Amino acid sequence: MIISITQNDDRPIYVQIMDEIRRAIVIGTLRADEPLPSVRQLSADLRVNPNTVQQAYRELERDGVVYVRRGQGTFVAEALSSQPDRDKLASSVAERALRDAYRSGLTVTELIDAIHSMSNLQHDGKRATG
Amino acid sequence: MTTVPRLIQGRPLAVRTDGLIKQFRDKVALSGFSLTVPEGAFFVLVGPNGSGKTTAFRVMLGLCQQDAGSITVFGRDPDEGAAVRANIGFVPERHTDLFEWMTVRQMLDHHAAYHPAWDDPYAEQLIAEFALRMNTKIQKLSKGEARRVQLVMALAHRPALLLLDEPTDGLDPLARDRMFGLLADHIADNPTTVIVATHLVYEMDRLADHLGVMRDGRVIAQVTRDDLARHLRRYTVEVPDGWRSTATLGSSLLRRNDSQREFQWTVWGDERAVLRKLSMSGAFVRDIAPLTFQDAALALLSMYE
Amino acid sequence: MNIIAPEVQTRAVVRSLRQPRLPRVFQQQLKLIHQAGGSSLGMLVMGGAAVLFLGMDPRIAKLAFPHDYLPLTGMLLGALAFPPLVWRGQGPRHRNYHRVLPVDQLTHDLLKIAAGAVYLMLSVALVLIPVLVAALMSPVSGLVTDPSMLVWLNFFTGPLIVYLLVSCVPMLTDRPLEWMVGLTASFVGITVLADSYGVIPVEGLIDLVMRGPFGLMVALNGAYVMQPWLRYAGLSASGHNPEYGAWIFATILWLGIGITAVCLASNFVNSRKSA
Repeated sequence: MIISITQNDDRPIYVQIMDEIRRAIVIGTLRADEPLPSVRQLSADLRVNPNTVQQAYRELERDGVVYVRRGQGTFVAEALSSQPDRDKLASSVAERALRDAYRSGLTVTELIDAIHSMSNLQHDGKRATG
Repeated sequence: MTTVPRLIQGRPLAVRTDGLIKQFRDKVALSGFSLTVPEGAFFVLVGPNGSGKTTAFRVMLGLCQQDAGSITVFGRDPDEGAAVRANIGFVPERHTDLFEWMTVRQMLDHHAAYHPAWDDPYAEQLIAEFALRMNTKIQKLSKGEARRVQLVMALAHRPALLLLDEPTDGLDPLARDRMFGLLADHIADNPTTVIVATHLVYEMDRLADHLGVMRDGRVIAQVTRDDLARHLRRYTVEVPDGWRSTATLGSSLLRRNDSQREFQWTVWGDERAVLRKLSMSGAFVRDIAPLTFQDAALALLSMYE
Repeated sequence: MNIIAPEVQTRAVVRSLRQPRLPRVFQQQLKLIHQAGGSSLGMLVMGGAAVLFLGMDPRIAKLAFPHDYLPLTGMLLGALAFPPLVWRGQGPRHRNYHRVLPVDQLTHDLLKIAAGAVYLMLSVALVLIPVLVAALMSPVSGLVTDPSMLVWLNFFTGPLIVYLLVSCVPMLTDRPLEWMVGLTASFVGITVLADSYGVIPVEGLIDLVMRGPFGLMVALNGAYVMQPWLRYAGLSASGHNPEYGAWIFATILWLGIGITAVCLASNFVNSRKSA
């Protein structure tokens, strides 16, 4: 699993870590009952305050995404049903897109139209090359 | 409207200073310096050059005595001296405060002898990570190498308090990155309070959980990271032609950047209350964004200017 | 999972474990001076000065040791080299590292001075051995005509007093050599001026401090000659005219003055206002 965070993001670092772990679970790089890296490991890798990692893990545990086995570490929870997780991920992506659109003075319809036409373009491109 | 906090309350404090005043022959270094650093905090102290950060550290170490005001470090007066210093790891601003005729090995051995808590295996690990050349004379070291030696000296006895004065000064990007990794590892492993004096705030973004802002020898703001995230926002506001600001934000307006029809205001306070005031004055809030750590520090620094 | 260690502070225990024991500090200071070249360079200067002064004596051939006074003069001057070596690279502006270490600052300074004194005493002892041998082999040896051990003691106490007094210079300034030369020059200048213009109070003070009954001169070489300046001026031919009582008292007095001086110098720097 690769977790990457960035300084130029509106989200606090612990939220970025949570989102990254959620993403890893949804796309399958982290599977049920697999361990997360230790707090120390992840904080040293990301050069992040261990308390921040701790906070992210705590919130994930509260959300039921991970569970703690005492003395052994933090593990990915039994994949509940992956659809709600996918929905959650999608809504957080959508939220960011919406906010950007709003900043640029675009309406929701304009944004959705643009997404549709972009994805059609990419589809066409793929079909052409494939 | 809430104002930016000047003290941090309600937690056991590693360092507490109250109204420190320190005057040198030619200038006032501290003019009512009140700092509250909770135990376990990673506290970034930011301020322009000459704002008194280095003098504040010297008082904490008992290297110079304040003219007025009080200070405790883990509940003790630094004037008690040695017992307080024994619990502090210090990276001074100058990289030259070492014995230049010694080799790196001799320097570290000397330092270790003064610190019974010195952890040899840990020191060796730090030495390896920093790629120190142990048989090189101190005077032959580059600024960055000397810095790395000082960092090993500050960390290897696992002190309860780390005072780092511009720790990345002279470090190349790789060594800088290593240092942050080692620091994160260090504080995960040891109950440590860290105070970093720096003007490169963005470097500390991922590690800092407290921010103190200094100007002219005093702390003008000190806040937790959570507080920053909760209270500090940049509002992008569109206004009709000829609009005059009627929103009374008072001292919670930290920074403004106005053009003809668009304003960018950095405001400290409850988001909804600020929004209400802005809309009531006829302005249209286009965007509300939290600030990066760097921008937050800048906004607080320019406060009341 | 790694849980961040709880913030437990058993400070009383931590403190006692975290400060170094003083013998350890003393040992480190010995090592430090040695690494800075203080021991070898100091011994070299000490030996050189003694030999130089020995060689200056026209009566070298019939050396009557230990009654001869010149090697002591050499050693007194040799002791001047030690303080700058002991404090090398640690002038007041560069002493931050020394001062940040977890040892009481006055104690730390005194331990450093004591470590330097060890090398000084060692140098004196090492120089005495060959001089002693030379004296033994000299044809007209008046060796050990004086049963008193005090003469031998003077070889150690004299340089020690010089060392203590001069230690204040590198403790207080970043340019000890310049200051030592400057201070000596101004002292000589003041003495000459006071003499030639007859400034009585100054003359009297210098006389009291230097040549008084318990003056510095008595402390430095009283076990040999009470009035070495007479001998230099050719007014006294006698090489050996000790007054042990006055010498012992003067020695204790001046060692006390030396120790007080370094304590004051240490306190001055450690509580100094400037950064």
